[in-house]
Amino acid sequence: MKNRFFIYLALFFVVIVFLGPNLAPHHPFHYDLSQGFLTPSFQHWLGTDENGRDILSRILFGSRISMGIALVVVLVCAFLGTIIGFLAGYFGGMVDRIFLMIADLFQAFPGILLAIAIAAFLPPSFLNVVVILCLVGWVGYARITRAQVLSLREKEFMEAGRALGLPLWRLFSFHVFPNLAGPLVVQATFGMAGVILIESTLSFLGLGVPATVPSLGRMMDSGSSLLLVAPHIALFPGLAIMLIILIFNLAGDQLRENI
Amino acid sequence: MFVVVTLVFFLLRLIPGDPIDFILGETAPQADRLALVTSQGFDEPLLKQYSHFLKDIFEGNLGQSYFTRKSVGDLIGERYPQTVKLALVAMVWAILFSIPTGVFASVLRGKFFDRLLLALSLVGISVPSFYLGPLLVLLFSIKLDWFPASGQDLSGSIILPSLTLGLAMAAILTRMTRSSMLDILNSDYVRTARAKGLSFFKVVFKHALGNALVPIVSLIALQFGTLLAGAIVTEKIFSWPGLGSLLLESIGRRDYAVVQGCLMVIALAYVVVNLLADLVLTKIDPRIRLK
Repeated sequence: MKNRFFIYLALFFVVIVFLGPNLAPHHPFHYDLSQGFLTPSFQHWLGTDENGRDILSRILFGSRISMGIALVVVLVCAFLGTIIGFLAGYFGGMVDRIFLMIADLFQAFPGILLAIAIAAFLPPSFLNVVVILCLVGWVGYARITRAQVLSLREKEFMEAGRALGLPLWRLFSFHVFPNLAGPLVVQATFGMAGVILIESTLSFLGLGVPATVPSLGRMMDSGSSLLLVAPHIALFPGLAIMLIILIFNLAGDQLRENI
Repeated sequence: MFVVVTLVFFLLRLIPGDPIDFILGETAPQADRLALVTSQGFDEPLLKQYSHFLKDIFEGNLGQSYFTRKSVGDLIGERYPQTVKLALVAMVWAILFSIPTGVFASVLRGKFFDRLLLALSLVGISVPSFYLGPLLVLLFSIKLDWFPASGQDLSGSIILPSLTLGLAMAAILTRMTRSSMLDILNSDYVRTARAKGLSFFKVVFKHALGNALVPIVSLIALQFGTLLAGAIVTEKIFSWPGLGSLLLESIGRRDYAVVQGCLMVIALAYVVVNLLADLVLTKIDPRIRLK
C-alpha cells in the first residue's frame, strides 16, 4: 500500500489552519498587559506575549494568513506558469527563446533576494506580498510545463488532435493538462513550503504583511528580541513555521513517490 | 553581469511608486524634491538615466549614500568582506558535516543511520534560519554561555551565525551527496573494482567519491551564492556587520543608492560564483571540458 500519511496530514493542517480563528481559545488581538510574558499553562497553552496576547490564538490566526497567501500564490503561479510554459514548449522557436531568456533573468537572483529587492520599495500589504511571491515563483511551474510539453507535443495523440483541427485551448485542456497534473501537484506542494518560508522571511525582516497583522514571521521578529526574558514568544511561532514547511516537504516527497 | 546590472536598474525604476517619495517621504518640501530630482537625474528619460547608470558602473562609481554621504562603493567595501567571511565559514561547516555523513549514509543505505540522517536533513531543510538562529543563541549563548550572541568583536562570535547559515546548506548537501554516491555505487565500474579485490575504503573514497563530486560541486557553488544572499537574515539575527545588515539598514533609512548597490553586488556575486563553479567542474570532470 502506498504511504500517504503526510499527504493527509498536510490536508488536515490546511483544514485546521483555515478553521484556526474558530478554534482559537482567545482573541488574537486582545491586549492585557497584566497577563504579559506568561509561560505555557492550562489557560494559555503556549503562554502569552509581551502584551498579554495568547500565543496559540495568534499562531492559529497567523498560520491562516501565511497559508492563505501561499495558496493564492501557488494557484496564480501554477496557472500563469502552466500557460506560459505550454506556449513556450508548444510553439518552440522564438517564443521558446524569449521565454528561456526571461526565465534565466528571473533565476539570475536567488528567490529571496528578488523578493527583498522588490519588497524594499513597496509599502507592506497583502497584495504586494502576493505579487512579489508570484513574480518569484512562476518560473518553476513554467519550466516543468515546458519540459513536459516538449515531449508531449510529438506524441501520436497530439498529432491526432492537431490533424482533427482542435483549437489550442482544447489541446491544452483535454490532452496536455491531464499529463501535467501530477508533476504540477508535486511542484505546488513543495511550492507551498517555499512560499510560506519566503513570506515569513519577508515578514521577519519587516517587509511582508502590515505590522498590525499577526503573521508568524512578525511574531518571530518581535519575539527574538525577548529571547532572554521570554524565549517562548519566539520559539512557538518559529516551531509552527518549521512544522508547516516540514509537513509540506514530506507531503511533496510522498506525492512524488506516489505519482 | 550586464543582465544583472540592467535588471537591478529597471527593477527598481519600474516598481510602482515615486523614488523621491521613497527617499524623502511623501511630505517632503517641494524645493527638496526638486533639488533631489535634478541632482539624481530623475527628470531625464529612462534610457538616458540607464546610459548614465551604466557609465557610472563601468567607472566603478556606485553613487553616494543619501544618509552617510559616503561613497556606496566604500560602504560596500567595508561590509562585504564580513559577509564573504561568514559565508565561507558557513560553507566549511556545511562541507565538513555533509560529505562524510552523506557518504556513510549511502554506504549504509536503508540502515538506521541512513534513515536518521534523511529525517534530520529534511528537518534541516525545513528550519528557517530566523528560527534556527534564535535556537542556537538560546542554547549556546544564553544557557551554556559558550559563544557570544551577537556582534563580531569577541572571539568565537562567528561560530553561531556561521552554523545558522551552514546547517541549512549541510542538510541539502548531505542529501545530494547521498543520492550522488548511490548512483555511482550502483555503477558497473565500482562493481568491477570491488570484484578485482580493491579495498572497500579505496573504492568508496577514491573511485566513487571522485565521480560523485561533480553534482556536489555544482550544488556547493549554487548554495554559496544563496548563502551570500541568505546571509541577510542571519546578519540581522546576530547583528553581524555585513552587506545584508547594510542592505536592511539602508532600506530602513530609504537610502536608495545603497540599496541598489547592495542588491547589485549580491546578485553579481551569485552569478560570478556560479560561473566559477562551471570552471571548477571542468577541472574535476574532463568530459565536461571536452563537450
